[in-house]
Amino acid sequence: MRTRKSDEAAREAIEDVFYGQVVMIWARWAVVAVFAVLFLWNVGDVGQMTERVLLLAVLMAVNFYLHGRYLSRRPANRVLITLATVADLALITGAVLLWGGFQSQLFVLLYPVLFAFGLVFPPRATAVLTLFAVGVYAAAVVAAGTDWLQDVQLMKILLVRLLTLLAVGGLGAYYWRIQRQRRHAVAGPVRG
Amino acid sequence: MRFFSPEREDLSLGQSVIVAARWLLVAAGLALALVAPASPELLRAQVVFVLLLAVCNFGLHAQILRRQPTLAAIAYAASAADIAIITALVAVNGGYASGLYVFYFPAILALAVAFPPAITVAYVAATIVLYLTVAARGTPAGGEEQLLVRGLVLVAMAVCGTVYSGIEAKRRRGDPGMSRAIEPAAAEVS
Repeated sequence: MRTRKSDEAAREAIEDVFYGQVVMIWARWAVVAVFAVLFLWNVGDVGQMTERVLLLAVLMAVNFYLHGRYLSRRPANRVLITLATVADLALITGAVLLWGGFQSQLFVLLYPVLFAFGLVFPPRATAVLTLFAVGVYAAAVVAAGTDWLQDVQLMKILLVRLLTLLAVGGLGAYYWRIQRQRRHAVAGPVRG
Repeated sequence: MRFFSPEREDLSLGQSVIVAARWLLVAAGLALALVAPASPELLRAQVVFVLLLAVCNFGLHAQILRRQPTLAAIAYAASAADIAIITALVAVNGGYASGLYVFYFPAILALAVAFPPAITVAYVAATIVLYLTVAARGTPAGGEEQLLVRGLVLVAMAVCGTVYSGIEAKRRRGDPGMSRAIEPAAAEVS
């Protein structure tokens, strides 16, 4: 009985990753779109432009690969999509660190990435990733400069960003639980 | 809890996500308003908006706790009020320069998982128009780029929520296309 239940739970986790990862792929397309806007909006010198376009091309290639696998019904496994999400977080927080720290508005890209992860993975994994993202973002802001610490209004703005990032991860996990309960309610008589 | 149609069920269960998002907005908004307020006028405006939101949310939460079916019109009006209040807070807090626009993200996330796609599109479009209207005040040269980025992320949140709730609806229905897809690939994904 227990084996059957654990088999069903394992299958459900596989289905979560199988079906849900397209949400993460769309979130990454949003990241690509934003980087494209930022890189192409203000064309500086050719060298800088070339570096940025190469970075954009790599991002697009990774997402074409993942989207292509999904469309051909051979989606990536949970390790690969977790690594891709961690790479997204590293890229975004790295860009925050290099291009403005507290003033950089690129932190907004963390919202769709965390939300999409929360919809696909169990709450515990989402909690770990959300806390990791919030911690890394805060560290990037501090590492880039601490001038904002002298103004309490700026500290409040940072707090709002961190709180809403936590909220988005939490709400994604909450909705994941609601959907799981709905599926169990529908499948209950059959599975039970 | 009994529902009459999948759409009503989506709305009712999604409503609890909206209520949770709104409590976060109330708690964070009140705490941030009370800590080192910039001016008495701003504090008054923020506290009035946030308390109004808290009272409305209590009414909606009570409805969920009493297991009453969600009335679509009330759910839509409450989410419209959320967007209006966030926009008002952004407006009184400096428009473009205000950091409070990030409250749009959980609000849009919550309505994207609860409302049908057509309604979500209308809300996101209205949110972007309202935000651009209040943010136009004080936008520095080159600020359009940031407004575009914020708008894109709002759209991305809505797309993620809508796509996911569509997938989940198919999974619950046992869509044959989805079952066929999972069988050969299950071993590979695990």
